[in-house]
Amino acid sequence: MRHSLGFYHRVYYIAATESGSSAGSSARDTGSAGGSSAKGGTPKTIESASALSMVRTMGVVAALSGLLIVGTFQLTAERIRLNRVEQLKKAVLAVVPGAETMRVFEVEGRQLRPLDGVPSTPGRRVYAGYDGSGVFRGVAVPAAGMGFADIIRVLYGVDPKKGEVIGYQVLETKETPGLGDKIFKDADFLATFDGLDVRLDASGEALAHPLEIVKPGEGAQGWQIETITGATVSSSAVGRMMQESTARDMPLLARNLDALEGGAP
Amino acid sequence: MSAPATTDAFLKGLWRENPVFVYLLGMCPVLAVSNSVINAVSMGLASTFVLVMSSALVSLLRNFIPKQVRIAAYIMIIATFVTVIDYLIQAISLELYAALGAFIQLIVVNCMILGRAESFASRNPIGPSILDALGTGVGFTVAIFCMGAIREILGNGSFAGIDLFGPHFEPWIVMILPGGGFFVLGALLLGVNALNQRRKAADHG
Repeated sequence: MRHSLGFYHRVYYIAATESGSSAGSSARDTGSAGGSSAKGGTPKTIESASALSMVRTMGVVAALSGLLIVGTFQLTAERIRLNRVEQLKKAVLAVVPGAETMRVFEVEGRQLRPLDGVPSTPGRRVYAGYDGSGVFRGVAVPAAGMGFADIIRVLYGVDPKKGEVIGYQVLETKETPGLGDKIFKDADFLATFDGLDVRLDASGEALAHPLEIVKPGEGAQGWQIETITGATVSSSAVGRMMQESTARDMPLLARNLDALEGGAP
Repeated sequence: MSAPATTDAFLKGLWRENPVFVYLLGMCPVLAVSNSVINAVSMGLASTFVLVMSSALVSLLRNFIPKQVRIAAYIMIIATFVTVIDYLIQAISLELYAALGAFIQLIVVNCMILGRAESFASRNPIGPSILDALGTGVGFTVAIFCMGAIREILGNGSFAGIDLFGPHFEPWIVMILPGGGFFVLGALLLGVNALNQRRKAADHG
């Protein structure tokens, strides 16, 4: 209360100087809380009126702002949701060659559960792609990991029957232009992901050859990812997230192959 | 500041009172999102939208807002239109939204906008206020576009994504990195100031 009294008093003081009173007493006046009654005139009525009008103004402006924002949100919400679905669908169809439609599967422990439509809530999901006649063509799996600048998000397509990576796309990256952006521009690096070997071993619970990250020019095997000169950190980061994601998700996909194959929308 | 002629309210923002080249306002987006023409122009247009809408509303409410809470009220109005343009850009294109990143939300602290609200819109009727905001916004857009064009052409060999020089062009990568923003801004300011001083000398001599 003391504080607010001081505030009103200061307000009154500013009003007074603006109407031409002397400016020399500012330090003394603004410093003293509750001393306003000692000053002459009728400060009390001015204070309460301007305080009320301040509150009223902020209230009206806030209400107006709220109205505008809610209106815009209502108008654009559906469009934004469709944009997101469209963006995801485009990426899925790009990493699963031959696919024309897709179905979202929610990961639930060791099972995959098909969903209708594309949910807007977060969750671990994979996206199965089907061609025009409903034949299963592959699964798009999201992976993410820390790059040089920020988290890199990729989406890669796999054919769980053949045990091969069939497509790769970077969804989100803030890597340095001209250097780290080679993870989606370098032709040799991109070619690695066409036919990368992710077959399972006999138990079906692990990869026969876990992915390996090697130096440029040393990748002789089908399960090795060569880093890029000039983008070592970024390309290693992509390699690592592919390592983790394939080791975790390939057995899962193989286990649920029936559900994936029969999930055509 | 007495009320100037309406056309002058618009024109002064383009050169004589250009927010970027003369007042050095809004440097944060100018340096950060001018690495390509598309980003630069989108940022310029988004800022212009916020500038015009908030100037109009501030001008409409100018007799209603008490002096003591004016800054708080202006910021609230500006933040509202920033939120509006944020949703609109998401609705237009998610790729553009991702490219502009945090800088859309940061329009709210662009001092150019608060500056126009405080020094012009709060003292003038709605017509001149809109023209003043439009002039300043166009001046800002032109400035950030110049930056974007220079940086993209030198740093990436392209203009608005269209390849200009073919595959043998060796891009001057530093130009699209943050450092390049400072180089280009410095060079442009040098040019603008040299031109203005020569003009002034000619007027006096």
